[in-house]
Amino acid sequence: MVENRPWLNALTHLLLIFGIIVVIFPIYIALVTSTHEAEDILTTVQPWFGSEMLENYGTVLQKGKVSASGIPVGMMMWNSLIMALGIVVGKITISILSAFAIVYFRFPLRNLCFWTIFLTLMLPVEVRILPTYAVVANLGLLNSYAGLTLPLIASATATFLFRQFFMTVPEELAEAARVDGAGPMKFFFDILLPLSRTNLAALFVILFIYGWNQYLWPLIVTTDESMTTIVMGIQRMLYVADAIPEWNITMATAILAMLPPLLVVIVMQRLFVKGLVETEK
Amino acid sequence: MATVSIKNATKTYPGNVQALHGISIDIKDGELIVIVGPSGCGKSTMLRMVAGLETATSGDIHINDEWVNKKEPADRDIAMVFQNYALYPHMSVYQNMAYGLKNRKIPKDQIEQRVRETAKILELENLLVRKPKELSGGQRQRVAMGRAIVREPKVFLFDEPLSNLDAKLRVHMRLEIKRLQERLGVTTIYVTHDQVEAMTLGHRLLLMNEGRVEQIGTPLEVYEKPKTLFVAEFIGSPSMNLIPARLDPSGNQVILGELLPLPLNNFENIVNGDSSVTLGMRPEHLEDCEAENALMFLQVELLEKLGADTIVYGSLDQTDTPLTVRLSGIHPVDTGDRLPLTITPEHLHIFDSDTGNRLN
Repeated sequence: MVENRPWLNALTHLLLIFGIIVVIFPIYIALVTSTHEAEDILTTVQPWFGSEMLENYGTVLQKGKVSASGIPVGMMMWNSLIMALGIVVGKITISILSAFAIVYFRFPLRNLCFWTIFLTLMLPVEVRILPTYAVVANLGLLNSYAGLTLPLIASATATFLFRQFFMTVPEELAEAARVDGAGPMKFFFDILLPLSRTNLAALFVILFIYGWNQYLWPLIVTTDESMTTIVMGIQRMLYVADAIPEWNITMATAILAMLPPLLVVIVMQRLFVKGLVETEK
Repeated sequence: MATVSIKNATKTYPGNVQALHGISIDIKDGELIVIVGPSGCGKSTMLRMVAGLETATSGDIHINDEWVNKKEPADRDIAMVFQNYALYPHMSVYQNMAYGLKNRKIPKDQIEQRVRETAKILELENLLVRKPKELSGGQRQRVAMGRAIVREPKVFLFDEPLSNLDAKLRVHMRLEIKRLQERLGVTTIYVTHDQVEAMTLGHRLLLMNEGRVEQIGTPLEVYEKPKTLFVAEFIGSPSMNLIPARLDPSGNQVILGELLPLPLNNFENIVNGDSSVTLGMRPEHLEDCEAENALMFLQVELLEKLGADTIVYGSLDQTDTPLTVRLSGIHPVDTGDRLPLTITPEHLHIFDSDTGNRLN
C-alpha cells in the first residue's frame, strides 16, 4: 500500500512501538536484574543497570548457582549447543535424504513410506515419551549426547518440507543432469543441495531453536549433572529451598540462554527470510 | 557424426495407455528431422525415447548401428535442449556449459577451451559469468543450445525449444538453429507443434498423430502431396479447405455438392461403388479470375487484410460450404461480393472420406 496519511502513519508506529515495548520489557528486566547484587533485588525490581554485571556473569559461567547444585552455566550451554546442533544436523541430513528418495526414486511402496513418515507428525515427543525412554534406556544411552539427540532427530516436518520443495524443482533439471552424465548422488550434491540452500538455512534456524529449547526430554533422559542442558538448568535455579533466591544469577543464566538462538537468527536472517518467502527456480 | 534408426518403437504407459504405435524411421547422418504433430500425439515421448529418458516398450533404437535401448542417456552421446531450457539455476553460464564435460572427466584446460569456443559461436562470451535468472529468454535459449553443442554429441535432440520465446525472437532463433545445424552438420531430431518451424527447419518431416506416423517426407512433399487428411489439414496456414465431394464415374471430374464440377488430371484411382470423397484445396491455390472463366463463386463474408496477403472467408455459391481463399497482395474485394475463383487441376487433393488416405 502506498498511502500518505500522516495520522495513520503515526498510529501504526505508535502501535508498533507499544508492541515492541511489551515484548522487550521482560527481557530488559532480566538484563537489569542480572547486573545487580543479590540483596538489591530481593524485594524490589531495579529500574536501571547495576555495577555487578561482569562479576555475576563470571560466576554464572564458571560456578553456576551454588545453591542449585552449582553446575557451571558454561557447561550447560555447551551441552545445549551439542544437543541443538546434533538435532539440527541429524534432522536435516536424514530428512533431506529421505525426501530425495521419496521424490526422485520409483520404488515399491513409495507412497506408503511417505505416508508412514507423515503419520509420525501426529506423535510428538511428549506422546511417545515412555516407549522412547524405554528404548533409549535399553540401548544404554541415558546420560549421553546420543540419548539426548537421537530420538529427536527423526522428523516428518523437515522431510515434508523438503519433499514439497523438491517437487517444485522442474523435472527437466533431473533429466538434464542425467543427459549430462550425473548419477543420482551427483545430481543430489551438485544441483539439489545448492538449490535447497535457502530452505536449509530456514530449517537450520527453526530446528536450532527447537533443539535448544528442548526441556522435557533432556529432563527425563539425563540424571548426571554434567549432562544438564541450560533450559533444565534455569528451571532448577527457580526453586531452591532454604536459600536466598539469587535472582541476579538466574536472570544472567536466562540472558545467556537467549544468546545462541539470537545469534543464529541474526546470522542467518537474510537466508532464513528468503527460504520462507521465495522459491528460487 | 551418426545415423539414428528407429524400428517399430512402441510405448505403453501403465494403465495400458498406448502412446506410440510402432514408429519406424531411418535418419541419415547430418540430417535434421522434425517431428511435428498436435500436442499429445506422442512426439515428445518419441524424442525422450531416443534420449533414453523414456524406455521403449518394444522396438529397437540404434545410434550408429549400436543398439541403445538399454543405455543410460549419458552413455548414448546425445545432447538435449529442453523446452524450458532446464538450466541449472545456481550455476553460471560457464558452469552450466561445463557441467556435462566435467562429469566426463575431461581435463580442465580442454573444458575451458571448448566452452569459450562454443560461447563465441553463440555470442555468449560476455555472459559467461552470469546466472540464468539474469539472462533474457533468448539468451537462456542460447545457453541451453551451448550446453548441447559444447558436448560435441552424435545427435542433437530439441524438444520444442522455441515455444517459450516471443514471435520475433522465435523467427530469429529458428534461423540461428538452422544455420548452426548446417554448420556443425550434426544429426538432429527436432520436436515441435508449430508447422512453420517444421517446414522451415526440417530436411524431412515426420508427422505424427495419436501415436502413429502419418507421413514422412521433405517439407515440399508433405505440402504438395499430403498422404492423409490429417497431414493435409495440419500443414499449411490457413489450413486446407476440405470439402465433401463426389467423384464422377469417368474419373475426369470431381463434383462439389450437387452441381459444381471441377476437372481432374490423370486420376487413376477409380473408386468402385461409393464415390464420395473429400476434396482438398489450399487457400493459396485458389485464384481470382474473370467471371466467365470461373469454376466457382465465393460469397465473401469476412476479410483479413494482412498487406502481403488478403485472406477471404466465405461460402461457396451453390453449396453453402465454407471456404477460405488467400489472395496475394491487396485486393479490392469487399464483404458481400461474389468472387469468381479458379484452380488448376494439379492443386486438387482427393482423399478417401472414410480412411482419410490420399487417392490421387
